[in-house]
Amino acid sequence: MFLFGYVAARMAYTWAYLTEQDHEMRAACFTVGAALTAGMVIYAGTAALWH
Amino acid sequence: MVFRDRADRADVLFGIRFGKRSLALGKGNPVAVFPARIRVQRRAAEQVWAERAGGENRPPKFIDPAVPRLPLYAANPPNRRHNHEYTIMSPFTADNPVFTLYVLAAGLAILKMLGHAFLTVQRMVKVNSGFLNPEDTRRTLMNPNPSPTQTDTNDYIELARRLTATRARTRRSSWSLGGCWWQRRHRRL
Repeated sequence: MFLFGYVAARMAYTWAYLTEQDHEMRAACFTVGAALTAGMVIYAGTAALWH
Repeated sequence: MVFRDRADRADVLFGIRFGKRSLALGKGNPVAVFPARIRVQRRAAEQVWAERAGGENRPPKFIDPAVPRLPLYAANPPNRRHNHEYTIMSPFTADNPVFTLYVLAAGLAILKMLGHAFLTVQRMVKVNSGFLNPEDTRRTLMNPNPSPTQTDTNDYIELARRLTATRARTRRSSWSLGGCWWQRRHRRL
């Protein structure tokens, strides 16, 4: 789910970048992707430590 | 030495069912193959436990001192889900402490790289300039007083931006190198 969300967020960011959307739109897409990346890192790290 | 014999027999079974050659060449999905190997090992171990405990299927309380022992971490994992006397560590799961360390190190590097991106954002918000694209100078909720000078180069922000770009390049190669090293080590084993 994290990964699909991340791919969707990055595609949305690419769309926002190519269509010259407002900075807010781009930042929102980027932030969602970054938050999901951080989530994946934390998930993998905790799984590695307490498997 | 009963345990070791059983483990060897399980190894032979594994070789017949999945083919060591295909495993060594990386064919198939290792994530699917390695748990199967662990299950085979586990089943063999459970048979021995049952023989020793008179029909009860539980790990032995006392380990045969004649059986070679694994290092302390592998023999005494944080929880005892697997009995590591009989389980072969797979290279891409958290059973392997070296892979665990790789995951943690790569995770910290990813978090640091994400932090660099938000450092750039924080600096742009602080000085309200140094934007990258012309469309960033439109009037929006976060930019109520736009100006064409907002896209001018600002050293304070460019420093953070360069840091992000440099880190992105070096980290990408570091992770790739780590992966190559891991694959090479896996093949050598």
